[in-house]
Amino acid sequence: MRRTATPQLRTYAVLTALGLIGGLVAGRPELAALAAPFTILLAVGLAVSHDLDVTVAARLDRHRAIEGESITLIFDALTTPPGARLEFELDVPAGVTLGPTADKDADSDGLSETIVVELVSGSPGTLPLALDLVCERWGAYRISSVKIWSRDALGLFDYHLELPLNISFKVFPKPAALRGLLQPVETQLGFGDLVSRHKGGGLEFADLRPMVVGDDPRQVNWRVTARGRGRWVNDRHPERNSDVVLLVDTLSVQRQGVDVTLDLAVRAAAGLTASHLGRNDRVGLISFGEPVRWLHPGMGDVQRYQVLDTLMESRASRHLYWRGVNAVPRRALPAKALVVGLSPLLDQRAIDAFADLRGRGFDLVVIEIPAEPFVADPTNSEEELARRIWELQREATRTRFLRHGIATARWNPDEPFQRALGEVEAFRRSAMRARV
Amino acid sequence: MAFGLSVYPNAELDNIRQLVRLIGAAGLALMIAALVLGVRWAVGWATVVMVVGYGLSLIGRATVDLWAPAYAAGLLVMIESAYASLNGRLPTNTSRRVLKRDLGRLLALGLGGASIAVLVLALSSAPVAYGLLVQVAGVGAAAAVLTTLILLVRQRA
Repeated sequence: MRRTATPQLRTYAVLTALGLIGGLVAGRPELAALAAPFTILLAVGLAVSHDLDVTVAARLDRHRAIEGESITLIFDALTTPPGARLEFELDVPAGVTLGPTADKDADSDGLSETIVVELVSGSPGTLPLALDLVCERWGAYRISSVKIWSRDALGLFDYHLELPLNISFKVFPKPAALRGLLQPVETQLGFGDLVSRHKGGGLEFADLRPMVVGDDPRQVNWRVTARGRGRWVNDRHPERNSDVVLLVDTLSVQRQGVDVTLDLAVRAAAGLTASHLGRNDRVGLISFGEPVRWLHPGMGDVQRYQVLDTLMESRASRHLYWRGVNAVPRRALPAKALVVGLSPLLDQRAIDAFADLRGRGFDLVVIEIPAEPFVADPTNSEEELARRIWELQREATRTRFLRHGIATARWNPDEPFQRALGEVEAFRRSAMRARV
Repeated sequence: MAFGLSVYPNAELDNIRQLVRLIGAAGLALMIAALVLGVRWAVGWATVVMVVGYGLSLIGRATVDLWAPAYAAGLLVMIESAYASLNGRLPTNTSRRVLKRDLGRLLALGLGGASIAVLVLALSSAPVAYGLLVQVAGVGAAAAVLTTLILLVRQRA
């Protein structure tokens, strides 16, 4: 560790010289007595001062967490010589706070999100220091370095060291519990929990038809056959899964403080991902921004984490080129997939892309993330007029979507996401586009 | 504490009494400015000014100031407290345990400083045969102490 003299050392040295010389010149014992404590302090402090070496290893108990959970950051510190009191200064990123550390001295200044924790290194082994980092907001976080500070017993020397850590972890959004999910118009060929509109082998009764050669005798409906009008068999709906592609609009975000429309979209996408994967659907993701990123539809926990990882990287950014939805390969947008758009409908490119997908025949649902709560209130008549025009334009966009058969609903963040899903499902039913 | 240390020096000579008070006031003002504005280097200068004022107050004094050890201890505690309050680091000393530790350290420094000052004052005030040899030995010892300290500071810092 780098050693530097404290201001006390300089002050004590000056007072020592002043007292001793002044006492000799003036012949006053009081000045010698005045200088004596500082002289002794200096002499002892300088005599016992030494270099301080510290070895610190830092690790996390896990690298992934859900919002609201804690991740423990563990420091193993070994000092030479042992017994030094160390202060750890960490720059904790916004969105993560220090949890209660009952047996540690910790504090935060609130603005820089810097915490200082103190521990006395053990002798002769290392002393672990465990810090609970409470993950308050989703995101990918990185703690790049830690500053270690120490002071000798008499306060004459400071010791400094900045260690690179490069510790990163991810906090996933807490998925909203969804009771009912959107029913796609078409199902896929894989087995799942959805009852297909088509007829085939399954459990759900679909229809009756006269038996033909090749039919399974076990499908014969004996009750109807007993009426003497030939042999009849039951038709059934097969259980299938569906492809759900989440299209998260990251082209534009509206923010107020930390809350951003993208934040709401990511939370909604996380809830939809968890629920659809639980229903054995294949879930894909298109992060519709600059550039467009995508994830092919897939199933299972691996896919869930891949979707969440991709969502973590969703950021509104600007690039020089724009390829639009055409950049997405066909496999990422399979035919008959249910496309769920999560967008604040602020960027015309996103609006055009939704219209484009609908025009291609995709089963499209748009959940509008409201941007109004994140817009500052108008302060004069001109701003009021601009606000009204803007709201009329947004209303016109919604009407245009509905006219083209795109189920659209606004999600009020104060209400459960389920309600928005219920609205679009009701629209789809009324438009006779949903499964019958 | 700074106020007490700045008003304590009281010169017996009339012609320097005002000067001593003025220097004491200047030291106090410097210390207050250092603490209010957070200027760490000013703490040292404020202390030096106060000590100069105290040294001037001793000129022409017929008797030994028996409160000098208390003044030394007070000076030590004031310097430590001032630097602690101007610590540029984040406030870790909010917990009761750290507060207790710091207060204990200050108390130990104060008591230790006063004890050493009492010892030195007693030794230096002892009635010994005064001569050139003793004076040369005293100057030599002081010079040796200063030289040793300077060498140690240069070596360690």
